[in-house]
Amino acid sequence: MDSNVNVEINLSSKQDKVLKRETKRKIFFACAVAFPLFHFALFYVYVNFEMIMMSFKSYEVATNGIGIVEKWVGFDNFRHVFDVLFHPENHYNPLVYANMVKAIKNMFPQTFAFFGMTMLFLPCGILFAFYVYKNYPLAGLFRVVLYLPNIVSSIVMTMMFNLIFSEIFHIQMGFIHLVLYNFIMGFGLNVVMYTSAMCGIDTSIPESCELDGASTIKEFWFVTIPMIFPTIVTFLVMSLAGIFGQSAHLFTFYGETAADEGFLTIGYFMYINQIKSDIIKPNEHFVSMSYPQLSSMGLMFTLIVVPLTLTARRLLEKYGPSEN
Amino acid sequence: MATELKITKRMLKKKVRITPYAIICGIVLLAYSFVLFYPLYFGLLNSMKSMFQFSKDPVGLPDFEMFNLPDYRYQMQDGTYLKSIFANYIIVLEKLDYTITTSYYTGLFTKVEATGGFNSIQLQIPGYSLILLFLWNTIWTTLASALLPTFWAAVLGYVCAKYKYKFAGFIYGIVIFRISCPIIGGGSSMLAMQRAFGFYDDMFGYIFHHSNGLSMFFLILFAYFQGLPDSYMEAAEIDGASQLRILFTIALPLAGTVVSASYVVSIVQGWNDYSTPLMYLPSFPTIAYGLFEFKRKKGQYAYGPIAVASSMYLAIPAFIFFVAFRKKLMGNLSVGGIKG
Repeated sequence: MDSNVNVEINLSSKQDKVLKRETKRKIFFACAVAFPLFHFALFYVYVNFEMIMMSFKSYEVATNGIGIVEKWVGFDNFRHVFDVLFHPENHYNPLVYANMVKAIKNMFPQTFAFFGMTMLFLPCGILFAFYVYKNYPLAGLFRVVLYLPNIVSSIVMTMMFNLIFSEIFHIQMGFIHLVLYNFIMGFGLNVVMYTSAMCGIDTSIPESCELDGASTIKEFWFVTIPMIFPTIVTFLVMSLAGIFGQSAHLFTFYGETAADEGFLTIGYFMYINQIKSDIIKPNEHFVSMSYPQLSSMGLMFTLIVVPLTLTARRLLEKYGPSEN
Repeated sequence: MATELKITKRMLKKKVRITPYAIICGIVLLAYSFVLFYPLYFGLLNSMKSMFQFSKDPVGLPDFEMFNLPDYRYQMQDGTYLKSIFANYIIVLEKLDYTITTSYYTGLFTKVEATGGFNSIQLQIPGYSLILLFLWNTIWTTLASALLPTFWAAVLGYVCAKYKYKFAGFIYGIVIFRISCPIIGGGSSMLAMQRAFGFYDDMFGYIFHHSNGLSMFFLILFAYFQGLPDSYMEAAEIDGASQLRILFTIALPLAGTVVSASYVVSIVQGWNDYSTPLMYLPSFPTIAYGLFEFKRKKGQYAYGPIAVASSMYLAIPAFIFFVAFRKKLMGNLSVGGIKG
């Protein structure tokens, strides 16, 4: 009888200990996630919620000159965005700002040209990463060199490229040179990332391939690509997600005057307007929109890019090769 | 013994077959390496040339005799001329100044009619002391944007991987959503919010802004902690260690390699970043931002060897840092899938 009571007491004290430990774990978990979640709520949820709200508002200085008043304007901001993007001549005198008007009209083709170039990275990056991964001659050196675009500031690289083009080749930077520069700077990072992913493949797999007599091409196609496919999907999705956000180093090359030189991407256009504009549009020629109008422009592109990204991800996961 | 070891290593080294693919890739990568290295070589060389020599011969080696020609651009305040291979570097420090006038509305989310106003910032500090100010701003902004996000990503990655609650899965889902569903144009409402709450152009506001744990680093660290056996933590728990102690004395040190690699990557990014301070910290110019502004606004100094020397202030420390920490940088971080 006594021993039964002892066992019961022991059991209940053990249960208590487990319960206490579980409670402590729960409290610790809650404390650990509290700050990051609060940060997320403020800097992501709240900011984006405000962006949506702002898209339908407009601000102006109060009639008494003190403070600002807001009002709901329905879809007026969206109309303004369409007008700026598709009829820039209504906002800029083509005789004075010919390059600006031309740049805004060419903004979509230029954005897609830069995006197309990032898509080129994918097959090129994988092919060259395989070279480094398989330790072909000078692979060690390339591993180091490919990191350079991430180490050396784009301010330095843009300046040197500019000088090399103008002082050695005596040519002025054009659109094709910008594309080339972006390719050079982006290519290294791609190769580095795919090489890292390939190095994560269990060494026994390529070794067994070799023992089975598979050629390098077969190993590349049937082992390496499926094994790094999740990384490929991540990069594809991130590239798609960034299609309207990339500024293609235009700011580093030209500051806020790239449009005057005839170059614009959607990402750069929005960045310039963000740093130079305000809730009420200032009177500067390279600022086309106020914050509410920029918010509605962002919302429009978000509505395009989110379904595109999600569909691409689903399709790639469904029809792409699997590790099995 | 040493010879034996050498032979064993040689024997272990696999023979690589040279295929046409390898030849083509090797040549392309060699050309690519040249394209990346040449601008740096070109920059270093030209940062030691006089303005005269640069316009005459931008490709050749520096000729220090050329500094003997009187050039008003190298004239110091006391009337003497700089005649040194570091003349361009000295002149950058001599001519460096930073002026910014920025204005913005505040009070957007408060009672706007009562408190809304118009603020402006002016900062004009010429002279050598400015580079020290740039350096100080660079140090704290870099640390803020490197230490805090990595720390929070590590803490969050650990608890989400090791505490198997449903909410942990929810947090993982949030990160995947954030990465794969980009919200474009949030910058304007972010600026408006920061100005309204007083985070804009403020040291603590900037640090708070960067304390984001739900980033790509979270995914990397989450994957790492998931692969770590639970037995380490369980043994410590049985021995009576608190959850906090387990985190700081077992989990984080075990993830040291990945965490330090994240730090190194973030430090390099922070050092080179000029666009974030430009957007959120106009009164706190960092080296990257300050030199970017110098290049843009300095007229006669914005082109040629002096501008090149100014950019070398940015490139050389980053390059030395890379050489010192290249093993940490390379191979410790890899991005996996984003299945959610």
